[in-house]
Amino acid sequence: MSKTVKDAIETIPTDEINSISLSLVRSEILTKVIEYCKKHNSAQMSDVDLMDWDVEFANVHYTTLFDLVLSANYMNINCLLDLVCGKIADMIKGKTPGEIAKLFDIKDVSTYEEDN
Amino acid sequence: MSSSSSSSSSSSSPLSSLQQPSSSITPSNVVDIPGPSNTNNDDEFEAPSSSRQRAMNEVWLEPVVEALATQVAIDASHYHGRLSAASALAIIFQVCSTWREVSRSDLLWQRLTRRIWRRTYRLRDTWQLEYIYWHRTARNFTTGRHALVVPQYDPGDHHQALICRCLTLSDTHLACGFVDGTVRLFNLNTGAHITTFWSNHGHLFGPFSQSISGIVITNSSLVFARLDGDIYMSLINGPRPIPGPIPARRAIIGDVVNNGVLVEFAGCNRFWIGLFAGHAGGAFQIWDAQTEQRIFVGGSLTDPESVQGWHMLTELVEPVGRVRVTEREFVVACTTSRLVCFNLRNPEILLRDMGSTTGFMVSSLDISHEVFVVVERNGVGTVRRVGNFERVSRFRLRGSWLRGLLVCMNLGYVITYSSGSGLLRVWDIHEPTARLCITIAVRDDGGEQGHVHGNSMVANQTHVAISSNDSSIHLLDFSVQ
Repeated sequence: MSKTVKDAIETIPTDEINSISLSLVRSEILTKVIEYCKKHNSAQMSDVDLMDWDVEFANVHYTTLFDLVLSANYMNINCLLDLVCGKIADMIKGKTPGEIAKLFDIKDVSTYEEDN
Repeated sequence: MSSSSSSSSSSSSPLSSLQQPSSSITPSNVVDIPGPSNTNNDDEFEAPSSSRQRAMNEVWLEPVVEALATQVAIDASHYHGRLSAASALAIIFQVCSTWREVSRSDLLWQRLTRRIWRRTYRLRDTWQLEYIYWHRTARNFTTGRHALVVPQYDPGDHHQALICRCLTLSDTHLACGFVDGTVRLFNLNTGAHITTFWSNHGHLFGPFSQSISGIVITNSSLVFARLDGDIYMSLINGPRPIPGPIPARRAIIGDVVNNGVLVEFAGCNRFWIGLFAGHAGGAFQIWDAQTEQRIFVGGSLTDPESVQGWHMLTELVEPVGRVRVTEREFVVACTTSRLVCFNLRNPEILLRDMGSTTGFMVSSLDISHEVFVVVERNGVGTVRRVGNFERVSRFRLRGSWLRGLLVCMNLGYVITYSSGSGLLRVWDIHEPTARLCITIAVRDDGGEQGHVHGNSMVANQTHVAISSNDSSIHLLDFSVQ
């Protein structure tokens, strides 16, 4: 399910592969990502049950949500990225641009870089 | 080409802001208010530390913002209609410069055009322009902004006495089937006549037995059928060694005596389907479009209409049934008393078989993007998903609107035409209760000769075409000019 992992497996010779580095993914987040992938690869759940499970999976603290976003992007798991982005989309529904910026405490990138 | 528009309720769109990022939002305008922000989850959004500030800024990588923008647009489209996706995107692009940059991603616009407007190929210079085109065209259906295109017959064509009974639209062509077994192809944008296909085989089983009962345009070919059961095929852009009408190749030889009347013909890339009336147990015939072999005969849908079916050969009467095919190869067909649904790959099994206490109006059945519409004789129109028959929307037509009723649909709208009054209405079917957007008077040659008595109507995402028993064909162009 992860294109990053798939590419790593396909490019590294089989007899040389002992581990795949995912340095940008924290261990507790990787655990959740693996849980997601296992659930979606399992044939045991119906589509409706899987959708319900996804809703519960994405119902986490926003810091975890952002970590999942970064991890899904880094590991190139598009369906997980869509799921967590869908959750973020729910959070910003009905908000103005200013309210969204305030919600995520976004300072415009150029301003942030100048300050630091 | 003349232009006309009708008065209607209109909605403004901030879509223009999608062409150039808004210059009114600058970094200095984004107010940084420390502390909890105005959100439903106040306990989850305490003021972040500086390390968290950096981490949150790192989240908004271009692929992430693209994915977020996509979800926001799809959500808006799902809950508030496709036109609302643009304003939702405009909000995203105004949050900060990083989010604004994503508006330049053609990959984003490609994804959005596919998901929201169901368009998989690009005709404009960029996918952003493609998205804007389909957005504005869809908006024209709600405002009534359109142009009238008059099909330009070949000067030597003696079509004045011919009645067009059948219409089909593709992205580039309008195909018109006439009672004499000919099909005329017109350029959809200019109305220019391209070619005429004719069929001249078979015995006459009545003055209308060669009348065209269905046309299918797929990729480069045009397939049409007649009431007598003949099915013809021709290439749209094939070689033309001799100027003038083109004799189409007869792919299937009809057998009226044993099969009955081919009331309606429809198809997709893979299959053709004919709805027959006249012989019990043979309502449907299905052919493999590639091998032209018949693969199924059966069905009882038109058994009660056998006698009426035979009348179609000798009298100019309304079809006793209608059949439509979806892209995913589902068939929806109806008569006045029954409506059925099945899959072309498994036609023996009816997925749905429903009746109506008041009866269905055969001329009201149409399909678009796995959704179908049908109106009952009490004026209640229902839009349902083909797969599970889940009701999507509902509308009610007044009694006077049902006279000479024609109905068709495209992505997001149902179009009704009342021949009795000459009024065309567009219904937004996004909500459970459909919203009447506009009412347009379809005038014959400037509005002084009375309204158009339609006998067939068809629509796609840019055009609506109506043919009438007075030999006229009206083509309304809602696309962005």
